[in-house]
Amino acid sequence: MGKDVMIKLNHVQKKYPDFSMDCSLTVYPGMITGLIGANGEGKSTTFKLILGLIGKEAGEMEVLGKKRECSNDGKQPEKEILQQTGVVLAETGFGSYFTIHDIIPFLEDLYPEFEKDKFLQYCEEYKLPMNKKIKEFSTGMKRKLQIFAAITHKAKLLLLDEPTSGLDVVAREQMLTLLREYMETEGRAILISSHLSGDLETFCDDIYLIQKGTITFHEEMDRLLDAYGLLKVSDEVYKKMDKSHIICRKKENFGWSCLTDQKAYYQMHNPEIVIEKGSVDELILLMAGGERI
Amino acid sequence: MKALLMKDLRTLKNERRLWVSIIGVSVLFGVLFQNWYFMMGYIMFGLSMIARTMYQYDVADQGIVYLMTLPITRKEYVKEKYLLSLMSICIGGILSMILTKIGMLFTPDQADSNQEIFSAFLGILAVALVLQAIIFPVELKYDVSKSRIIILLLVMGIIILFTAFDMLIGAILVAFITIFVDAFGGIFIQHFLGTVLLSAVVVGMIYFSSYRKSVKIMGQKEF
Amino acid sequence: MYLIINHSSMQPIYEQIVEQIKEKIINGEFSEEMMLPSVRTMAKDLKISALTVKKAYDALTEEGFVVTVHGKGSFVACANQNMLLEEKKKEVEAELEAAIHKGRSCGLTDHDLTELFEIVLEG
Repeated sequence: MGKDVMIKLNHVQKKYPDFSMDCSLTVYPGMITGLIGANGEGKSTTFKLILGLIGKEAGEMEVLGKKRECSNDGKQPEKEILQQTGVVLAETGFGSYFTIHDIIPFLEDLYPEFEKDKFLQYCEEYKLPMNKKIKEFSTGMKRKLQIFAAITHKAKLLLLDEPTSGLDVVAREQMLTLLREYMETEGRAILISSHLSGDLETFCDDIYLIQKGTITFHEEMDRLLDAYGLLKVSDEVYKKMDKSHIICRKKENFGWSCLTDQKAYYQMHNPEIVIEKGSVDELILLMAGGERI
Repeated sequence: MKALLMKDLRTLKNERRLWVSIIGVSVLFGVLFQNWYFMMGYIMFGLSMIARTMYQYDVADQGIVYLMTLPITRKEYVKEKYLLSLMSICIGGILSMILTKIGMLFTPDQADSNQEIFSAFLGILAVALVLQAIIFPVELKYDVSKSRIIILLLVMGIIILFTAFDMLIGAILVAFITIFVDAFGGIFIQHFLGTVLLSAVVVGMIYFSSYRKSVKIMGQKEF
Repeated sequence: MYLIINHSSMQPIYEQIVEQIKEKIINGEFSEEMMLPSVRTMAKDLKISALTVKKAYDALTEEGFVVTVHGKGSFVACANQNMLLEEKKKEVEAELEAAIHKGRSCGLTDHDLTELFEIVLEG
C-alpha cells in the first residue's frame, strides 16, 4: 500500500487453554479501527500483545514502525514508542491513593509532550474532583480520567480497550466527541474495542471481528452500514433464493436470517424480501450464532 | 524513574502512620529492654519492608498493569524498588544511630563508642541488604502467598542447616572460628576500613546480582 | 455545516451528504470557493466514519462540484450554469427511467410508452 502503518499484526500467535490466538490486523494512520467480539475471545489479549504486557509466540508485529521480537525479554515496546501511545485498559488505572494533583507531576515526568493545561481544562470541564483520592471516584470518573491522560500528551496512537464502559450515554457521547477532536490532527490512529455497537457505528472507520482468537471478519464501517443488509426469509423463499451473495446465515423460528454484502442486489431482484440495514449488532449475532457460507 | 519514586513516596505519605508506629514500637522496645541495638535492628528491618510493600500495593490494585502500559521499562521499575529499599534502610539506620546515641545518654553504662554504633549499623545494613537480595526476586517471581511460604521454608531451611551443621561439626567449627577470630580479630579492629570496604563490595555484589535477577524475572512476567 | 443525516434511511449515508451539499451549492447557500470542513471535522459533526465523508467528497469532486487541493482542503467549485443544468437533466432522466420501469412492469410496450409520453408533452 505504501502507507506507513501504525500497527501491523501478521499471524501473531499465542496459545491459551481455551483458544489459540492467531491474529492478523492492520491499523493505518488517520483511521479509527474497531475491534469487536465476545468476552474472552481475544479482544483484551490483542491489546496486551500490542502493549507488550504478554509476549507473542510466533508471527510478526510492528507498532509505530518498530518490530517486536518473539523473545521473552523483548516483549515490551521501547520507551519512545510508549511515549507516543495513549492507553485506556479496562480494570486498570492509577493507584487508588492519588489525587489528580498528584498525577500531574507523574505524567509530566513520563511524557515529554504532556499538555498540562489541556489536562486540567478537561478535568475541570467534566467536573472531576481535583482533591479527592481516586479510590473515591465513581467508575465513570475513573474512566474519564484515564481518557484525559491518554489524549493530552500528543500521542500518535490510542489503544482503547472498552474506554466507554461504565459511562452513561451522555458521558459516552462527550468522550467520543473528544476522541473525534483528537483525530482531527493528521497522522494519528485509534484502535478501540467496545461492546456498544452504537458507539462503534458512529465512530469507527473499519472494524475487525475476533472469534476464538482469530479475525473472522473485516470491513469498512461505511460498507457495513450501506452495502450490507440483513435478509429475513422463510424456508421456502430461502430454498429458491440466489445465495451467491450471502455471507452467513442463522436459523430462526421464521426461517433464516442472512447477512449479505450486496443489499442492493437483493433489493432489485427480490423486492418482496424483508431487508434490514447492516449493523454491527446483527453482524455479531449472525457471525456468532450462525454459519458462514 | 523519578515518576515512580514520586508515586511511592506519595503512597508512603499516606501510610506514614504505619511506618512511624513501627519506629515508635522499636523505640519502646529499646527503652524496655535497654538494648539500643535491638531497636536499631528493628527499625532497619522494619523499614526494609517499604519497597516490598509498595510492590504489593501495585499488584493488589492492578496498578502495575497500568504502569507497564506507560513509558516505564520493567528494568526501571525494579531499579526504583531496589533503590527505594536501599534508601529506606539507610535512612532508618541514620535515624536509629541518632536515637541510639540519645538513648545511650540515658544509659551511660551501655554507652558505646561512635565507631561501635556505626559498626552495628553497617552490620545490620549488610544483613538487611542480603535478606532483601534473597527475598525480592522470590516475591517478584511468585505471587504473594506463595512467596511467603517459600521464604518461610528458606529461613527454616537455613536454621536447620546451621543446627545440623553445628551438631555434626560443632566442636570443630567452634575451634576453627576461635582460631579465625584470634588470627584475624585483631586485624579487623585495626583495619576497620579495609574490612568495611571488603564487606561493602561483597554485599554490593550480592545486592546487584539480585537486582539483575529481578530485572530478568520482571522482564519475563506476563500481565 | 448543517447537514442532516438519516441513519435509518435505506439511502447510503454518503449519498445523503452528496445530495445535501449539491443542493446547497445549487441554491447558492454555499458560495464559490468556500472551503468545506476537513474530512475529520465533518465526520465529527455528523458522527459518522471519516471514510464515508471522504467518499462523499470524492464523489462531489468527480462530478465537478468540488475541487480538492492536496494539503489544503476541499473547495466549492466555481458555479457553472452548464453544470447546474446537467444536474437537473440527470434528475429528469432518472425520473423518466423510473416511470418507464413502472410502465414496463405493468405490461406496457415501448410503443404504448412513447404514445403516453407524447400525450403528456402536448398537454
